[in-house]
Amino acid sequence: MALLRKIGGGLRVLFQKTQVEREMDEELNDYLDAAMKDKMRLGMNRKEALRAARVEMGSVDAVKEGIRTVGWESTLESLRQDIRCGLRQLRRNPGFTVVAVLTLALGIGANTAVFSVVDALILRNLPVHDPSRLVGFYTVNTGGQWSGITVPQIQEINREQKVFEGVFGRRYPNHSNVEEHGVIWPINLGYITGSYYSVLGVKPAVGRLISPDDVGLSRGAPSPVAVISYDFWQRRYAGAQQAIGKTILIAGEPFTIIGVTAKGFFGEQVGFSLDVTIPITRVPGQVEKSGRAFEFEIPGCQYAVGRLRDGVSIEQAKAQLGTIWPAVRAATVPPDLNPQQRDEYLAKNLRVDPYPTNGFSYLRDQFAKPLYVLMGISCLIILIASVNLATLLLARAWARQHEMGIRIALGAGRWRLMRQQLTESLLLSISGAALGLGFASWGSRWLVGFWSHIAFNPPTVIDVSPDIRVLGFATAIAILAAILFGLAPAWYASRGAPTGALQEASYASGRNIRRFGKLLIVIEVALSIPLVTTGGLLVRSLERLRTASPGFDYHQLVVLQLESDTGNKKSLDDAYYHALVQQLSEIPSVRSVALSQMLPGSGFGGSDTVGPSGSGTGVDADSQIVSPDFFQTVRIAFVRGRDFTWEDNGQAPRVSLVSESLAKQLFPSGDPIGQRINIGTDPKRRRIEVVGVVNDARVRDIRKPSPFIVYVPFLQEAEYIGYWTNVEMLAADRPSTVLEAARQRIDSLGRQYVFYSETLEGTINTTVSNERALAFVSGFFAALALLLAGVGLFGLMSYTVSQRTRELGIRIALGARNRGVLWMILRDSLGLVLIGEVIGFPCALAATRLVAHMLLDISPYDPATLATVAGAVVTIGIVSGYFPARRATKVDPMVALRYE
Amino acid sequence: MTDRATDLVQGTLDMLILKTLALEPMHGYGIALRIEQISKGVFRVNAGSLFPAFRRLERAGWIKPQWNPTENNRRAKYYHLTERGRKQLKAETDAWGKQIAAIARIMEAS
Repeated sequence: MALLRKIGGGLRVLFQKTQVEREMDEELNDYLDAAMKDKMRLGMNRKEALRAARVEMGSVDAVKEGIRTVGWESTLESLRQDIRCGLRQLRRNPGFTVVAVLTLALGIGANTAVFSVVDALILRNLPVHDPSRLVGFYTVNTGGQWSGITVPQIQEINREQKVFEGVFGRRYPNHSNVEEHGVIWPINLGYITGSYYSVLGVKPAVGRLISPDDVGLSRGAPSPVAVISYDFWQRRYAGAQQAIGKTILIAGEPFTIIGVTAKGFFGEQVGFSLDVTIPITRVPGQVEKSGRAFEFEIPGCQYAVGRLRDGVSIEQAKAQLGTIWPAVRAATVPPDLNPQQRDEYLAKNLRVDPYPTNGFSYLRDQFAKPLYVLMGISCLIILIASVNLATLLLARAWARQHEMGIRIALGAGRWRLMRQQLTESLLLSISGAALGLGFASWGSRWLVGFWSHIAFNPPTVIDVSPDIRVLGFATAIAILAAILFGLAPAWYASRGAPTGALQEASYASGRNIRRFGKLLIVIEVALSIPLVTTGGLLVRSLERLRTASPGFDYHQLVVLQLESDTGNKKSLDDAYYHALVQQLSEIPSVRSVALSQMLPGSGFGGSDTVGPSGSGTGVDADSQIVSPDFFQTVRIAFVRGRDFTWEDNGQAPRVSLVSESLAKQLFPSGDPIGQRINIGTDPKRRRIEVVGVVNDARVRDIRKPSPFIVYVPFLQEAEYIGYWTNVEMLAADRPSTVLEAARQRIDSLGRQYVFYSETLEGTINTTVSNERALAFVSGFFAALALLLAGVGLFGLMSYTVSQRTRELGIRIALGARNRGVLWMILRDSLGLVLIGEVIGFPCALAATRLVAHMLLDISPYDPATLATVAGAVVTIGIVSGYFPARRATKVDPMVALRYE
Repeated sequence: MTDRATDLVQGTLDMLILKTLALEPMHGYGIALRIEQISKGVFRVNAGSLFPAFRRLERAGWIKPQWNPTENNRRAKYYHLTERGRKQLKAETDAWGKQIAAIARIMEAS
């Protein structure tokens, strides 16, 4: 009741404003009238009585204001006024408003963009039913290391346990492809047991999902069925119903699509979206069987997951699984183990843990660190933007002191004035946030784009669309920023002394503001320096990566990855490889062609211990499997010896090439040519003759020096070469033209098809995407921070000069030289910058230590970078001080003295 | 322009208004006058405190405004006590009595 009346009364004031006001006037007039008559009764004449009554009542407006402030609606009303007033102020200074909103938008946008990636990758719950009830388990060996879990173990546990509603196992997913009418799509392929979807609580969007019957463990036979993700359904079939029932080839074997998972479901690993899932019993390339013996042949699972029954705690689950484990272990010993393996098997333990509600993620492990660096950078930039705005607003607060003084004299409350200033700041930051959200949605997709295109992989789907948490984050940042940059100016503005202001802007409070402004500039410069230094280092690091020669030349190279057609897997032989290289070499613009197991610069490759035969010693070296002409194609220079030839095949004696550093390491005194080496423990790789030495090159990863490399011929390593082949072509023509010609020739050979193509430069850019993203973002924000510091300093110095006009006038009148005045102002500006540097550089050195592991070939204390940063900041100090200082010299003493 | 002689104890103005209205409905000036007269000029309530108090009490539902015609054919806003107002007055009177007694005991004790 009481609440209703309060709301009703307030609404009446808001919506029947004129009537309420009229009644108020009427009542107050009555009051005056009655008071006057009363006084007339006491013997005053009418005029005197009216005057006395008015004096007694005081300002009618003040009384009305007093009435209006009763009740909640007055807060609303004053808020409306504050907003209107704030908008008017902002409109009056469009330049300031645009700069403020833009810097805030960049700051808030950067924070929100990074945060939405953090949110998607780290914070968000898995898109499954109640992930907090999921429990993961796998075996560990006696050393405590992860040892997977086999399908029979999962089966046996599921039979014995009483704590889970259901249990599923899942094999490592991998990259594969789907073929339909000769069209190939790259996919992420998941292999699951029958309860996968029911335990996760995922519903089909269309059709049905894989069930235990499809998997056919222990009973029945596995069926060749596939479930596709909603995303893949949209991508591949544009969401058509006809997709259900279609037969597709997965890695060459036929499967029938039976259903589509619900929208938003991507699997239980963030950043590894399962496009297609098939029964774990139907791994392509394995003969279909059924029965208990077969279950041991199924590849083991990464882990198994169970969903807790209602009322069962994780501790109870651990306890029960612990109890049944020895029996499960004894019942599931694989049949073909030797006694030692058997003992090892029987020593395995079961690890049981809550499944992380945000899922596991390879991508997260990979990118969490750079993300945190970006988070730090964007935090700094919003701080700098806020401090910068504070200095600008402070100067304005001074300019408006007069107005504030008058308002205080007229009876405005200080709190009210402060609130109005804060409203203005909030308006700025909310507009900044709105614009920033736009930047953020673009920026987060850009960031993910940087990271998700790993060479040869299907696109990684990470949903970075803003959710409630991201919106809340942006709002919180906006409000925090508004308080940060608005509070001090608001406080100064509301302190305007009524008497002082009614005279002339008080010199003393001006000095206070100036001192505070100086403090802010010092803080701003100090904050910028870690940011600029980090940015500088990351940019220089990338620059080095670009300009330093990795020992080979990745320009003008077109690379192809070839996949084998179904049925042709066994027919890749020496003759085919030779023919392939021959065919491609005949393309007119192609100057050289080579094959390799791994692409140069892709970050992938083997590693083995290499040592002189018979010495028993060795060093760790990268091993690369390459065809003849590889060195000519990627332009690695020969030191001595010969290249591989097409005669270096499986029938010929084994040969190898070594890098110069490896040659020196293994054979410090003698001639490496003709020496024999052992590679790893493979008996076939013993006593291999060294036939040549080539220059050191970062063939595996251009980010890491790899002086020790051993090269072995393509045709002698058939067992290490898969059914896919990497081709490098050195071409003088446009990549697309080369690719078209190459595709025709490869098709005409009829054994393989082009699965992926790219320039080698592009592939390498993808490999270093982390470095590129960091360098780009930090470089951009470093430049922005410098610019903001310059703007802030310029604003403060201009304000100082205008405030000291009279003093400057007197100095000039007393004979101060132009240079003296110029230096006086410039000294001020330089002094601030230098103090900022003194505080900022120690912080910078601490900050760069944090990014040290992301820097390539450059020390986190790189003197050249530090000197450049110091120089740049001093330059900013000089430039931002110079123009106000020049204006100071132009002060006309006569004008200045008459000024006040 | 403060209330002359003695500033009203915080919160007592509301009680005094309720007490005044307990006798009969009155308009604004009448209430101010009555408080002044009964207190023998110790409390003089000015309009700046009185009218906000009216709105406050009105919102609380303790008094209710009513427009009555006056002798010179106009209308005047009269306030009268509601049933809830009467209860509130009683509660405040009781509390006030206890407080006064307690304060008096403390002041006499020393």
